[in-house]
Amino acid sequence: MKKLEIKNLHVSVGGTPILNGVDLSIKSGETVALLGPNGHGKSTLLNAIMGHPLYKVTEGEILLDDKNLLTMSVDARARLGIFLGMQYPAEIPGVINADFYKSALNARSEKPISVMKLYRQVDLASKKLNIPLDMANRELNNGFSGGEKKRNEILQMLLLSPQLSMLDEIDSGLDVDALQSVAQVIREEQEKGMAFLVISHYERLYSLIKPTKVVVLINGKILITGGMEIVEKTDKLGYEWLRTEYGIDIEKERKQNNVSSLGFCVTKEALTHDSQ
Amino acid sequence: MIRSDIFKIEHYQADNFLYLNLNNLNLIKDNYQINIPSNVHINLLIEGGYAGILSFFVEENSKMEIAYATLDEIKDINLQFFLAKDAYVQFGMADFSHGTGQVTVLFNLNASGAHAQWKLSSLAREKDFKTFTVSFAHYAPHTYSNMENYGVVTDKSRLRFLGTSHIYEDGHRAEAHQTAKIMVFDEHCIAQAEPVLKIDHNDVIASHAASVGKVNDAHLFYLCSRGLSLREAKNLITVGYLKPIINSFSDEELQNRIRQIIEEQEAIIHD
Repeated sequence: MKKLEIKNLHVSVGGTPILNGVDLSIKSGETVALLGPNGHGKSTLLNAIMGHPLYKVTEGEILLDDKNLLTMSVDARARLGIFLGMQYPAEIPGVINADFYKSALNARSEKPISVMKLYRQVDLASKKLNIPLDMANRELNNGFSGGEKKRNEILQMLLLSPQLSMLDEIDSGLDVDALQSVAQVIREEQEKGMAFLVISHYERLYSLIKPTKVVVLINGKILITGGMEIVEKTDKLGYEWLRTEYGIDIEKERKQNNVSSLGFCVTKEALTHDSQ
Repeated sequence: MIRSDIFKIEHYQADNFLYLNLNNLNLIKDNYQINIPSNVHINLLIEGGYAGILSFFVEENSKMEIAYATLDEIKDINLQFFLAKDAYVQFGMADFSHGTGQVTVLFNLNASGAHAQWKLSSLAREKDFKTFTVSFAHYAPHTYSNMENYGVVTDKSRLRFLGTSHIYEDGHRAEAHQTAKIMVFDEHCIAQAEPVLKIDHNDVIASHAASVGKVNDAHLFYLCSRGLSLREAKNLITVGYLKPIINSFSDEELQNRIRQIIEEQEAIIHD
């Protein structure tokens, strides 16, 4: 990947417009910090780039090296090198982590990965993140603590080595030591040229991974672009300074429909009959 | 494993492995009764189907671990268990059969300390119509039952999980648990999960859960966001749903056959 380009992106969730014309470009090796008040569309932007079916793009373009992402399925985008480290990773009972890692790696190569190679890769990634190797034998995120889930996201990022990693509040749920090891992993990947788009509410993560660009998403648009000084200022003053300095009127937390699941084709009935 | 003839099943020793093919019983065309004496530990592997009622009398302090596989054509099956004091029956059923059939199982927990565990994984395809009625009757104090039913329905098939766990008046401190879950893959299939709990005593422990639904969209998105196609994602989730039943089988050849059948399900899962 050379460049991801987002042009005039409009996105609705459940009929409610959330993004109203986002323009953003991320080049290989860049780390973009995505700031903004809650409910103004940060996670929506990441989900739209990944192709979540409930986030409908109503206008605009997302191009990866001139390839149109919007016509591609979620898995095709992933195989092209886009990764989303989720704020709330799904817990999937019955699916064993190691089987899942293997399927995800096999989806990217013509030859199935050997057991030894898979073991070595998982072992190496687990050591970097201080995860016990036997986590690979547990069910996917099922019963994991918040911190374990987040480290499992980063572990998958290491295994899949995407070109662009989008990390949605990856630092929430991590203790100080875990945050250090995650930041260390991110720094190593930055040096290898991986691009990052990172959402966090805390200056701490950003000071460890040193973003090359900081953007603020307000009212569904990116209105401010700059450097670390924006992170520091926001950390001290909240978003209020945007009003005083730029005269930007920040809408109250914007209404967002909860993402809900689909209907059923049959209904469940659990009956408790009266005793005879 | 000792491939015991059904008629010789009375003669066993501790930790016996026995094999019972119900198709052989059809010659009798009548109800059939098997007695398990007290203080033995039996591992029983069952295959096939049988039209009559097959009863097991499990005497005091005996333990039976039963693994039942229906992998070809399903037939009507009616099994009854009568558990004496401290008798223990653990039943694992892997149903990957085709056709129309009713499986009816009743555990009579007749004396204190009787303990019954039931686990089922069932897959319904094409025009299958399968009904599983698994019931427990707690007639005595300190009896225990646990039912776990997992099903997957596809195409135009129908799958029903029924049954009643009934704790009678004498069942103080009895414990009954029911879980019935069915995953639905196509619009034209019909799934029904209706476990019923009846309780006639105040001092008991009981739980009861039923769900019927599509594969969770959030789960699919998560797996697809790692590069798995929709079909691969559904397959991984289905395999994860059905596979744990393999642990109920100690016979390695049968384990492999079940594993193979589950993994072949890729073919039935649509994008």
